[in-house]
Amino acid sequence: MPDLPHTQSSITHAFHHLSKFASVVVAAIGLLVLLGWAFNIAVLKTVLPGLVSMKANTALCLLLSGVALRLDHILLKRGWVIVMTIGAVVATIGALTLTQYLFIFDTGVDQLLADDSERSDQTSFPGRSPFITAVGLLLIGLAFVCLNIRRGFLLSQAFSLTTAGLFLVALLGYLFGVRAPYATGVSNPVAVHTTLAFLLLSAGMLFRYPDRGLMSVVGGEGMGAHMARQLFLPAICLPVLLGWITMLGQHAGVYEMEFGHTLYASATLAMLAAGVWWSARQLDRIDERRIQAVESDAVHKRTEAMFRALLETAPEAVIIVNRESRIVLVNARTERLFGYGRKELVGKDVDCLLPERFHGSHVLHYTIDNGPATRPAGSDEIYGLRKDDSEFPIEISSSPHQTQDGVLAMSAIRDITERKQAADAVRASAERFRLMVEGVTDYAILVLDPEGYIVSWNAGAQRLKGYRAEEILGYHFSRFYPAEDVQCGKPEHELKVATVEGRVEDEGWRVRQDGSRFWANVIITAIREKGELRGFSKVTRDLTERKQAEEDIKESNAKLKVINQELEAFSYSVAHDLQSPLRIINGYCQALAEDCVEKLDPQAQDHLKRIQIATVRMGQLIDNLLKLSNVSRTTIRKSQVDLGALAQGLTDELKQAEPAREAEFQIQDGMFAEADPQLIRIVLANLLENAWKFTSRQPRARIEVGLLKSETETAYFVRDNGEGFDMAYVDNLFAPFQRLHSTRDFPGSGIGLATVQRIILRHGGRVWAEAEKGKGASVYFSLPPKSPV
Amino acid sequence: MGAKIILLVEDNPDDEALTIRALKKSRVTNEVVVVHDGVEALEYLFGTGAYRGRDISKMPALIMLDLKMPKIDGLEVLEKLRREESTKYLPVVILTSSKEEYDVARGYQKGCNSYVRKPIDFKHFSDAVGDLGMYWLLHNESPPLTGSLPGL
Repeated sequence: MPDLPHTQSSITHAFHHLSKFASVVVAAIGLLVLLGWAFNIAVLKTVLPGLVSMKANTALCLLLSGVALRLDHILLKRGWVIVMTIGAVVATIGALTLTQYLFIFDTGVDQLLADDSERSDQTSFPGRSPFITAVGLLLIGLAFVCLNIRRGFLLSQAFSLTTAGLFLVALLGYLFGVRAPYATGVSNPVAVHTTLAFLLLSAGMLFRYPDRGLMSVVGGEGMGAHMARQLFLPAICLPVLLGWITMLGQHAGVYEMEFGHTLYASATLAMLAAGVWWSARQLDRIDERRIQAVESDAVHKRTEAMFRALLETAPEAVIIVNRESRIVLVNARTERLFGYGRKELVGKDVDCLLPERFHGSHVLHYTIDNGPATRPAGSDEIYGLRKDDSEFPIEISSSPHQTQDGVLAMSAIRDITERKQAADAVRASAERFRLMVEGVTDYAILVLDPEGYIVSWNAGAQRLKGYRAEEILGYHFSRFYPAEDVQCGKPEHELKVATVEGRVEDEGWRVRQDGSRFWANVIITAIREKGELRGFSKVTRDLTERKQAEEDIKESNAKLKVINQELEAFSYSVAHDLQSPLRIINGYCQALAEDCVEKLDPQAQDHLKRIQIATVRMGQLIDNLLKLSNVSRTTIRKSQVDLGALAQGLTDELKQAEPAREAEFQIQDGMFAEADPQLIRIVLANLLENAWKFTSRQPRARIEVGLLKSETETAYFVRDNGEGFDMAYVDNLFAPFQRLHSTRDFPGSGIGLATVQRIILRHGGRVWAEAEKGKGASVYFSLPPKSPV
Repeated sequence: MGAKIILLVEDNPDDEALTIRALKKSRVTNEVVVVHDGVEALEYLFGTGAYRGRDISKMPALIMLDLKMPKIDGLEVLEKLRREESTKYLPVVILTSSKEEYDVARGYQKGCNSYVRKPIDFKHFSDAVGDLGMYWLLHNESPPLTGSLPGL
């Protein structure tokens, strides 16, 4: 299983360190060799006795180059002048050396630093850097010059890479014992440590910026870079190793040269094939993983999109807070609820959403500090703070979540203003109700438990029964009942009835604290909750006064009955005893007139006549008075009466009494009324008699009986074209004994209309009149419609 | 007609005199027996008390009965008459001052044959009494005597 591709930062870091390491090592090599020249220490110059030495110039250039690379690391772009200067120096030294080789002259630069006349390696020019080294110096110097120039970086890398290639060939020459690669023609051969130092230096240069230019292919995080890193070492080392082994075999005479080549080619082929197979496999695996990653990324993205959508549409404000109480994420509801934009909130301390008194109370990140327990919602009254500084009641439930980025607390916040208002309203209403019940003084309102023991007591109960709450709470309610009721088990019976029927009402004597009794109306209602009996409410009213009043009424009714009986007896007496003398007076007047007809002069006869007339009139008066009093005394028995038929009968009687009179009667059909037939007959008779009487002087009397309907009532009327009356006196019309005409003109007692009014009023109707003197009169009466029984 | 007796039950002497006068005025010449209260009326009719020994087979052809009387009032007398076989069918005219509905109703309930209110005007009273006499004594057939009702 191949390693996971390194993240860019770690690879870059490693290459960066390699570059730093190379700079230091190269500078150290240069310094050591210089010291070797200065103090003529052979081992420092040649490493191994008999090997070619590193020339002083080369050593100096390596020291300078190492320092320049290190400075570039430290000073970055700021040190570009120094780096470029050093590069120029190195390149110049390389160029001068090369020039000497090309044009075969000595500039004296070779032994400028150190004397190389006793040289140990038999080279042609003492102190002169070998040709390849000179090329290397020139190239690496140019690489430094180009390093920090704009658009020169690639060129710088090309120089470094060429240098590396050059010295790799030199190194292989050492390895295979071939001279040519490191000792060209007239030139001195290149020293081993020079070769290694240059390889290191060019590597250091190449990896100066591992993420840029050529090296980004190796240092990058892409699949290619990964492959390059994997294949780099085997690709360099294996052919070298194979070549070396092949050569060893030839030298040892194990096989011929031809066989050696064949072997080498075969091995290389096998190695390349293996490399290709391995690369292909790697690529496949990586590709597979990449596809998986892409797919899982898509799933992840979908999940995240869904999560976001859910979060945004959540009815509650959702706030995610990190361990430092900073807001990490909020949803749309949060913005609306608190009045902030989400950009304002993210990164802020979550306490900004709470009034100051809740700061530090950890209501929004409570669970982070208190372990993974979901905070119970609504355990306290918590308020939120809007951007405009207004507060509103909230309910919070939070829970911690372990994520890749550490523990986060997710809080769901709900605005409970409305719920709280509703709850407050219910509470206030319950409180009002309690105060109301407690304050009721006209009724004793108490609550009993299911066994009948008192659990609540109001002001009315105290007023009615005398006990204060603390004196009676916990006692059985039977103590309000008289001893005889308790003995026969009435209190228990009432509770039983209330339990079974839900309610019981009773009226009877109850006992106060001081032992006095009062007449009470008691209603006991069972209080049930989900069918289970919780107790009883008991409402008691003091009806002593009402009972007293009822008894008073009974008593006065009885008295009234006696009085009525007396009145009846009185009326009876009046009917008999007052009429009798009148008749006797009248009779004897008649007897006197007849028996003493010779003794009495005409004037005496006239006197007697007048006495007789007066007695008759008085008899009529008594009769009418009796009628009026009868109207008040008789009970009304209503039934449907045909007023038209009744009026017709009455007018027939009138016409028969005076057949000589010229009179026209007009009676409307279909006049029905709900009335007492006897009494309504008296009404119509009175009105028709009046009309008949007051039209007696008309040559042609006209009497009309009809009805008028309005929205509110039905009125019946009797209209005549007779004498009429002055409307100024209309108020007197219905009063007893009041007459608007003289007895001389129209005889009468003045009781008829009073009787009519009394009858109509007793029916619940009203009566009124309209008239004009000399032009007739109309008397109206209304009767209430049939009451819906 | 001479054999037919009118029994007048009237406590007030003035009324008694006026009634007799009215009868005479109307030419009713029959014998008028006057008793002054209910007790006396019953004694007369049943031949008891002051009238012990009276021939009770001779019954009045018409009884004019006042209602309001001392001791036993008119209605009570009427009730007793109607209860006895001998007097069950005697024509009884109530002649009184009252025309109270109650009295009229009770009168008929107890079985009177006629109810006449005495008018105050003597002329009318005279006419009424005359009419009564004419009707009950002249036009009306008297009921058969006691016990001889053929199978009623």
